[in-house]
Amino acid sequence: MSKSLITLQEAGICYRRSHGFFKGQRSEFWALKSVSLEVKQGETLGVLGRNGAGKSTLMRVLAGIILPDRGSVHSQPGLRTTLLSIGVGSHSTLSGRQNAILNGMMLGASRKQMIASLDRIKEFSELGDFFEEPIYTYSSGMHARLGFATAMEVDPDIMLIDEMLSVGDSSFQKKSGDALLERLKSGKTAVLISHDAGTIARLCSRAVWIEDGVAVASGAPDEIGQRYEEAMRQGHASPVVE
Amino acid sequence: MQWERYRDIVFYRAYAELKAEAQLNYMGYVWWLLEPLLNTVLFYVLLAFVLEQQTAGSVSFILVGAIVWQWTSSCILSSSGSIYDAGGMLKHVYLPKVVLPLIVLLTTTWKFLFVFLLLLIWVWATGHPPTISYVAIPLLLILQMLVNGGVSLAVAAVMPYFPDARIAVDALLRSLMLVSGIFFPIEKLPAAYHFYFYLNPMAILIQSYRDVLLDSRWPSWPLLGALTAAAVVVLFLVLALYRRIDRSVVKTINR
Repeated sequence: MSKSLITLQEAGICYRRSHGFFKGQRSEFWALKSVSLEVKQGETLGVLGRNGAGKSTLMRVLAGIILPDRGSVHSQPGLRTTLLSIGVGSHSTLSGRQNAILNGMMLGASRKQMIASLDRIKEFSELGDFFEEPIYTYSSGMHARLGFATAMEVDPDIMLIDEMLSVGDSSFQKKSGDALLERLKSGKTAVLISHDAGTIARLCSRAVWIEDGVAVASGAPDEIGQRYEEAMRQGHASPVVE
Repeated sequence: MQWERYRDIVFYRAYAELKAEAQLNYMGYVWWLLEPLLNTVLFYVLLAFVLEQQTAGSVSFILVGAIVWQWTSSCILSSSGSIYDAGGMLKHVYLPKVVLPLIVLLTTTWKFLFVFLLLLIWVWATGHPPTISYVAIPLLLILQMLVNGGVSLAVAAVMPYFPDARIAVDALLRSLMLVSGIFFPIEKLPAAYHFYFYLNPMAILIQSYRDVLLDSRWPSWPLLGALTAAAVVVLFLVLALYRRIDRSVVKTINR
């Protein structure tokens, strides 16, 4: 049994809203009601659930962006958990090279580490001479390529992936998808979120099903996937409110 | 290790902001000079000619006040939205929230130092050469930085919960500007009012810079001591507030 890197116990996240000028009326919304799960070393954990089930909120808890309002979260000290995202904190007047360093630092890498990986980022992103140009001159595809190449170099302890990332034109989509798959297969710990049972079954070693803020089941991806799809079919008999 | 990374982020972002400003609007630095100059001219003309006030200060007198004031007010105003506006980014990465206003404080301070240097040259050129009391200038700058930091961080932390605070702070700063002694010496007012005027940190700071730069004398150490103590206490409280909101504030930002 591999050791667990993050453990959630009955974690709940509450969004509070105030209405009115004097903030008298308050409403509460529990986006996560009770989620218990473990992320274990080396696994690819799939989080399956329909839109609005609380998947993104769960990701934020795993990434350490928010702490649960009830229940608990424990992670290994010094663990670097990063939500794989494109171009976070980038600055339009900086060059691709400088943004790669900045984005990488935002995602959790050190400055030294990013400087050392600049050549690989330049090559992977296929930007050529544009790498030295300010990114306001970039097309959106170039932005995506730079962002993805940078994110791939950050190399956190746990990679959080919200839906399957596919960026750029079709050839780059394949290239980036392959790079990501390679990471997952090479024993990198990852959590993959999706509303699609097929994606989870194909890529994950274990799955958790989130419904209405509660982790309702966990186990083998194909089994969980089947039960999820079954429930979705029944759910669609009545209109799904999102 | 992590703190090193956050420090690097602060400096890298600050560098990017300054570069962007210099590149996109080359008037950036000029505006920084222009605003206190315009204020000075305005106050001077208003007081000396329109109201014919004998108590009106000289141009240098007003200039010191206007520039010192501008550093603090820009720090507070420009960092007020730094956490709130970064909401989208903060939903994707964890950053200690204090990093965001610090970036703004750094860029604002850098521009201020440039203007302050010009002020020193101006003051010298108009007949106030440096004296031994200039030793106090670094202390004054550090103290003002503490004040700027404490207030700016507090405002930036409160903004996500009360977005209206931006307008309130703007209005408050406008009023405070009028009573900070930018265009009149507080000493000339009846002594009974001094205590109340010096409850305002900016009044103490502006007065102290003038003591050093224009009157070649030491600033009032008791006043500065009290202000330092207050600033340190505020800073500690604010940092405690940041610890509290660090991993929850993102939930309140709807952008």
